[in-house]
Amino acid sequence: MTTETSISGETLTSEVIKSGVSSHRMTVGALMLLVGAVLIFAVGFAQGAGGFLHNAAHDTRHAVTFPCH
Amino acid sequence: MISKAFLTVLLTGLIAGILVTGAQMLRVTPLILQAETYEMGEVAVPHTHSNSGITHEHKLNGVALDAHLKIKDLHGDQNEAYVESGQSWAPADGTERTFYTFVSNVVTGVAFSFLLVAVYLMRGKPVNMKSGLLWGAAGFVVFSGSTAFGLPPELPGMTAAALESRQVWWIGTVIATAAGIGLLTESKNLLPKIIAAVLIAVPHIIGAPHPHLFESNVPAELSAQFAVASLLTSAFFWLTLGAVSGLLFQKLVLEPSESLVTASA
Repeated sequence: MTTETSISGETLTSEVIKSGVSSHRMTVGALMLLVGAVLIFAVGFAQGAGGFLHNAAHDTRHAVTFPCH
Repeated sequence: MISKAFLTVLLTGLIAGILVTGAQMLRVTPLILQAETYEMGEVAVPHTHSNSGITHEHKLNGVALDAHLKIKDLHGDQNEAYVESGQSWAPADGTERTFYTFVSNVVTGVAFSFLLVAVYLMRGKPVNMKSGLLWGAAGFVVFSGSTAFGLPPELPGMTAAALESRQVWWIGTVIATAAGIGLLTESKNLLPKIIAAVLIAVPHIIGAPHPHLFESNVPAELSAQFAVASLLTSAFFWLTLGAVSGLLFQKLVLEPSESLVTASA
């Protein structure tokens, strides 16, 4: 009896750890999606002060097929 | 794990940014520079007519400017044309411009790798160079393929519909295509796959915004060459991003944790 209890206890712990790791992974993944999207906006769409961002990233925008002008 | 994932993103962006800057210099940049000679604002052409002695100037650009500059006999006293300036800051042509392009290529590379590594993390499945290459191909389809199907890659000086409406269509197409591809790869049932097909098709059924009248100073052949060159360059960019991110993610993020599992077991 004691052995059974300890086995089920172990499975539970490892499941808790697994789900903890996977939700952590999802959070980091979602944050990375967000940061990536913000960076893409900065490089591809933002005009910046006096068109600074537009002119600096101009050739990249044309090369990576962003709508530019 | 987070720091290793970040390292993967930064290294991938740097490597792909360096490589794509080289690739861009082969065809894309020369074509942009050539097209810009057609885009340059208006050029004032002052001259005196020899018959009447009247001096005046025309403001012209593109084809009309070329034609006008050729009429030597009518414009006996043709003065040199000058370009009206008044543009905001832009990097000077040459090294400075290449440097800014390099920096923005690296930033774009880092931005795209963030998305790829986010996909790897959220799927939680094994990744290597081969599967990374496939995800890179998916990135190309989402960001360049589907968008270029409606809005061909633009050269400076080409006529196009209002920028804002094109940007809205572009962003909508990217989101719909990405969601569609996500549903296609992650679902096993028929219904989500049908929804995926609809999502991918809808932006093109709605249609991209286009100008009512196509009037461009840029020769059509130049635009055609540019469309091919920029699509191939961004395909190269995405395949590099996919392969490098897949390889680094496998070596830096996945394998250390695997060895940790075997060590603890």
